[in-house]
Amino acid sequence: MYSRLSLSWITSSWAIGLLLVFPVIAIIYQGLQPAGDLFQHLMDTVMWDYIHNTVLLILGVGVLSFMMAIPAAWFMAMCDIPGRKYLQWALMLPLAMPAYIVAGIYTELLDFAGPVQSVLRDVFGWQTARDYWFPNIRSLGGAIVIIASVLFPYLYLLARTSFLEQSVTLMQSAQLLGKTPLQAFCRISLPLARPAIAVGLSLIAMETLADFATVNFFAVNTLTRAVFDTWQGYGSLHAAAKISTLMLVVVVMLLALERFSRRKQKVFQKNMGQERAHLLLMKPWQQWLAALFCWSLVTLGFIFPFSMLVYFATQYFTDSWTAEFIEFSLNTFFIAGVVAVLACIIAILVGLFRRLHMQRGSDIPARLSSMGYAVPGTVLAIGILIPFGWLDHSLNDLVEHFGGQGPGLLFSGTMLALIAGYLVRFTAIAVGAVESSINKIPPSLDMVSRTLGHSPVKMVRKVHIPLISKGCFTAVLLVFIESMKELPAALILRPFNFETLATYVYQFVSDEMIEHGALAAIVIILVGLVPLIILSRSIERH
Amino acid sequence: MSALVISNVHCSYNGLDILSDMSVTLEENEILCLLGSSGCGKTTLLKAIAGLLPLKSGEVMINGKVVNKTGFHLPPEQRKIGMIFQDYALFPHMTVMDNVVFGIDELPKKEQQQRAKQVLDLVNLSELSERYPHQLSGGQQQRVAIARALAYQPDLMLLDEPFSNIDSQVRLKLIAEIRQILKKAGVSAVFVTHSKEEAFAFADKLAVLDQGKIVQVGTPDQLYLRPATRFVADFLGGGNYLPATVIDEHHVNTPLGRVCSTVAHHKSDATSYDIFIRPQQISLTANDTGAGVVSDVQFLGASSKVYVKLAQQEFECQVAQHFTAQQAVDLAVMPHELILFDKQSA
Repeated sequence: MYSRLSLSWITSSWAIGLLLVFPVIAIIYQGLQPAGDLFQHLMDTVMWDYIHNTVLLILGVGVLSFMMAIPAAWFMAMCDIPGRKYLQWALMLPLAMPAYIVAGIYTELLDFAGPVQSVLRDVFGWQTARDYWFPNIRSLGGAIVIIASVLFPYLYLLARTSFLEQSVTLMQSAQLLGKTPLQAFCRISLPLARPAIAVGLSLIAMETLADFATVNFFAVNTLTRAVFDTWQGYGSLHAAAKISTLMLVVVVMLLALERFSRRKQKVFQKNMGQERAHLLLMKPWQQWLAALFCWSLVTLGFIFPFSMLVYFATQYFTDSWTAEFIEFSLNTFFIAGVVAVLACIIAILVGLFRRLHMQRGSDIPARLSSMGYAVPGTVLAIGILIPFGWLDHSLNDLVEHFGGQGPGLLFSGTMLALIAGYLVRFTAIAVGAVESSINKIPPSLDMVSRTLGHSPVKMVRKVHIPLISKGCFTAVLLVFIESMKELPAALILRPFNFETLATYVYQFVSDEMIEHGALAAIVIILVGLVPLIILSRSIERH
Repeated sequence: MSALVISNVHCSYNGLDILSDMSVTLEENEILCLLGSSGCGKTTLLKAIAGLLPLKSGEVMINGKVVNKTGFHLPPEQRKIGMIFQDYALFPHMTVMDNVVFGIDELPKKEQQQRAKQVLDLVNLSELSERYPHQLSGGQQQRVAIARALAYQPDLMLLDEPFSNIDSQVRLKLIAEIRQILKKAGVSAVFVTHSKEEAFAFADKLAVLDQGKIVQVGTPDQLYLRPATRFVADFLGGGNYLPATVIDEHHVNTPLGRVCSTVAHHKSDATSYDIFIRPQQISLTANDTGAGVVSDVQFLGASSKVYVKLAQQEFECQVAQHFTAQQAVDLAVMPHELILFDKQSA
């Protein structure tokens, strides 16, 4: 239904959309400028190495996640393995683990001074590292294993849903036509789930591309590291923007793959909603083996690292529970709270604009404000620094021109930059949550309230807002949590001497003193569990 | 040799008995229909035959080969069964041809093509072999499913509510077509339905199921003319129940007067029974002083369903003549093979 909205609503919706997409435009603009000396130098020397490693990392994580997630999804969807009820949500838990924390813990465990190698040395009487071979966890391979072990649930969830949505009769038909369950899986289930698997893999690839903390800790030279180093090491925003453009190209490609696969997904799906408990009759030992496989994934990505953290937290409690810890927690809560509320307000504004304005292009502000989500945090931070730096310089120049003392870095060196960065990155989540609850309001309600004599604004206040309050709550919660966890953008954008919980924990991880950051790490993980609970609830409801 | 022998089959799910003590036999090239209302266990039995569900006890034999007995369960892929599902279960990512050869892909290419052509000709779909399932109509999809099953040369064909997704206008035509295809291919088949019209049109033999038990097995006309229980009588088409007292081998007394049987009924004299009278066995004559009053008329085309009220009871009659509501009529029961049930203990 078409409603005439006040000019201020229309302009503010568009303004917000454009503001939120500005960092992306800024990067592309910078990226298209002719290459400077530094960038050329990097291209001539290390750049190919960085690109090569990034590609290997993404491919490795993809393949390993596939090997972890697909069998797990298949077991969970098709057979009645022991402990299925618990596994169903336990397999999601690794998603709550930031990869760099897991990396820190396994490094503690597996590096030369760690307990595993020490015991081996004691048992076999080896003296130095030259006496034996042990895989180096701080390597590309180590990064692949760590990142895959926390990201595989994306693929697991999507593949499992896809398997469940496939009509049971297809599998039964294949079996009756003489195919073993494994053959039926390869020829029917897997091809039918291909779009979902592609979506899952592209999500994983995007997250892997965006990872900075793990690769930096493991000293694997990837593009995120290149961006970070050119900015922090060489101070060249221009070269950083150029590398960022390169990453944006990859993001766009992955996004295209994701969109394309999602569209294909719709063609096939029909589910008769039948019983599937007996679909795959397995012998008891096979069932236990399947269960063991699933539990070992959960252990690798969650149970073991989390229990280690709990152990560290109790052992080093006095070292962890410090004034710093409390201060940084409050910092984090404050920033995350501000960002969450702002994101939600923006989401309501652009979401209702789309609903009420009902003209061609009225969904553009919402789409624009969601663009930042796919952009890796490191890249996004550069995108924020470009306009903010320019503003600071202009402002200082202006003040000094009139003979005053420049105010310093008002924009780029303050919390403003951090909040802006988080907003660009996470408004998409709020827009998604609010939009889906707006879409649930039947259009007939709008028609009824309008014919009963309510103006659009009154209708929004009396009908829409009460009905979307739950969606708004979810939006605030999810943005809050994501902001709490965000690391790479915070590392670049935070004001001097300002720490969030994530940067605080990361300090300890980098210094290989994760014991002292265990308490903060636990807070981050527990908070990260909340969206998983929401997710699993919504999955169960469907 | 029987195509299918089911003996004393028990099946339970979540501790609940779905099937108990089921036994039925199917001869070669015969079509058996499992008829019953939803939830009676007919689809469960079908899946048990296919090996898609485990049995609790009992034995299943297909073409002389035991596929289920205590402690033994042949996996479905080794049973040589063709199954047609309610949703046809065509593989959406494969063409009609790929679907049809799915079960015979171990054969040499040439033989695959040959057999596929043969079955596609049989179901009249040769021109559509490169189409994808979503490009076909419901009836065509079903014929692909049948072709796919036939190409596999199954020992037994199972059909799960195969006609429920077909428009009622073309359903009977399709049933005749598919019956012919099965007969031509010479396969024995079991099919499941809740519709007696489909059962009558499609099956050689009927098994009526109620609450996980087989109530009666026989040819459609046997079951219709000589139902063993009230449930079977009602399920195969409703009718009127009246008290009846036996006079002799061929006659009973009812509130509608004396009713004559065309065959001896072998019930003991002077005992009371309930007689079951189908609507078409009552004749109506217009009579201003008649004891019955027409309460409603449903026009069916070739005949009309007329509801007549007489002494507190409403009778359902199906007659060729036309009556109007409130008309007074006389009722009479035509001589036929009587259906007498023991008095129901209240």
